[in-house]
Amino acid sequence: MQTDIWTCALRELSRRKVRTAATVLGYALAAGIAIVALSLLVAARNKQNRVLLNTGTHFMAWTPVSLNCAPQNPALDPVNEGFLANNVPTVLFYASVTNKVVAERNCVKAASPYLLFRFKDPKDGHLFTVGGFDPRDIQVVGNTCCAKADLVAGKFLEPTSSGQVLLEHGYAQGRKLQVGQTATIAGKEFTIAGIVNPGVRPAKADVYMLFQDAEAAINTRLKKPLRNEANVLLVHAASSVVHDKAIEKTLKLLDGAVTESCACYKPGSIVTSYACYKPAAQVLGMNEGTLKLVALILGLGALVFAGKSQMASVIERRRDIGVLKAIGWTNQHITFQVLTESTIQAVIGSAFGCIGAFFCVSVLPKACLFGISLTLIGGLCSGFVPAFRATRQNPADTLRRL
Amino acid sequence: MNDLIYNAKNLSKSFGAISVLRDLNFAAARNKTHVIIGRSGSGKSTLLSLLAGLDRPTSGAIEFDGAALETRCNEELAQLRRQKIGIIFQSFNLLPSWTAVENVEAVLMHSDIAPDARRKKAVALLSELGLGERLNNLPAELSVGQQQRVAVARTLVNDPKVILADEPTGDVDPELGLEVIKRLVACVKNNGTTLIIATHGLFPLEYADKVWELKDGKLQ
Repeated sequence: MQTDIWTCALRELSRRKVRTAATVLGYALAAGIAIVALSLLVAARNKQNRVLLNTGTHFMAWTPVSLNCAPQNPALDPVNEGFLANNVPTVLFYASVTNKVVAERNCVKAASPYLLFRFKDPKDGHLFTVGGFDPRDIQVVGNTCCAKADLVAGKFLEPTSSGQVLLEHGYAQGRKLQVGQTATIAGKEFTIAGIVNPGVRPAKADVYMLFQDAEAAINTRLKKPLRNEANVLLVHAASSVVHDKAIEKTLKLLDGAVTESCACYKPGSIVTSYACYKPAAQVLGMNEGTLKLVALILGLGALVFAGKSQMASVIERRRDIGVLKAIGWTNQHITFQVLTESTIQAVIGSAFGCIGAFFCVSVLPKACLFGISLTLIGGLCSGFVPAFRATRQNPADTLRRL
Repeated sequence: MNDLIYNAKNLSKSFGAISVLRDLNFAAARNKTHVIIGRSGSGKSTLLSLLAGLDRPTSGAIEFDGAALETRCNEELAQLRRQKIGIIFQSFNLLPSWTAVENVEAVLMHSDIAPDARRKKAVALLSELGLGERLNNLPAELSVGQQQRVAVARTLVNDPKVILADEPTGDVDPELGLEVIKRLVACVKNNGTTLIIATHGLFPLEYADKVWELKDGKLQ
């Protein structure tokens, strides 16, 4: 029976050339579109992921002091001095939380505690901010405060650069300070090692120094000395893809590390700097979604076209099917023949689609497999409906209407 | 063995409100030529459809070769037609995209006969009918007479027990029609086949063993 079905199917297809060509073209288009679209989607996603995965994103996290709430460790001059971030007074947290944040390796590449404090110069009363960082965490520090690449003059701070500071370019110009001169901060003289222009980094300060130097200078302006505390956490996410996850983890960990003395602290009030990776990722996602939609519409359209052509071929042969039934062909024979014809056309069409796709894009094997599978499934489904209709056909009715 | 190849009792067939056959009784003896005459629209084709198992009666029973016909499923009826019943249609109903030999072979497909054997049988039969040179021609490339001979060959190729012929001479000239009738009647005599012919035209009665007239939905 199988040989007969193959023989008859091939005979029908070869003798109805136009109809067969139209149907095969439909399947070829469906397969080609599916393969090209999937190849483009996968290639685009791979490239996007490569870019995003290699683009570490950074942010800083801090907790603002609630309104009408006194700072937990107030400065001696609380009106002018104090911990701040983004010009907002902040509470303190234990710097040891950094190790826990760094332990989230799947989403965090690096983290570092940071002290950001506003001082008032007792000589002329001007206000300036001091940022204390750990130069060993240069990756995260470089992305959030200042980096070696920002140097305008002098040299960058090393872990051994105790007693030295970096000045922000504008601040240095305003104060007419140069590399090699000294700057007095909290009553102590620091040598100006370099001048930096860090641009718009979120943890920007007027003066940068080592964390321990900043801690010592700030302690002179506090009622109680710091106990291994910081007010800002600098974080470098593992990649743009996991940026949200890194923020989520950091906030959770930081929530549990806020210094106990802060009576006003309400869990969940930690904030982070703006996640600037989002617009780019959204645009990429939008393009991907559009491509998916267009591919789906075109692919389905081509499949419907092939299915309609298949259906039309059965309707066209309604009389022939009636005759075949009258001379003893069973519904099973008819069904298998229609499905075989449909499958043959789908196979040939998907092969052409595959070849055509090779000329358009760099085809991925799995895209090819997907396109062929989709077309074959489509071919079987397209064949099933007319086959079912053919079996429902009453031969006497068909012949009577001739 | 029962002498009757067909025994139909109280056969009725309606299409909606139109009653075509009414309590019709029909008994056809084996190895005989039965001619059913009647005007166009009298129900001859409907009766043949019921006898061929192409359609089911509204009521009544048909016994074929000693077994009920109307209770069989579609697959069994198809198998019965493939093995025991040959049908000649009024307009031949050849498959237009199949060649003459393929049309004849179509009846033997999906059977146990090997492809080579059935090709030989079809070729032999067509050659016997004078179409040896036209084996690979499509129906459109054949004359009406040749098409009819292909239809006859298709009917005879499975050595049927009964041949149901619906207006077999309707579309051909009288001379050719007579030739077809002679061939079918010869088949009755030589192969022990039963021939049931439905016609609205004149039929050479000398070839008929029994003549029935279908009128008002009943055989007389």
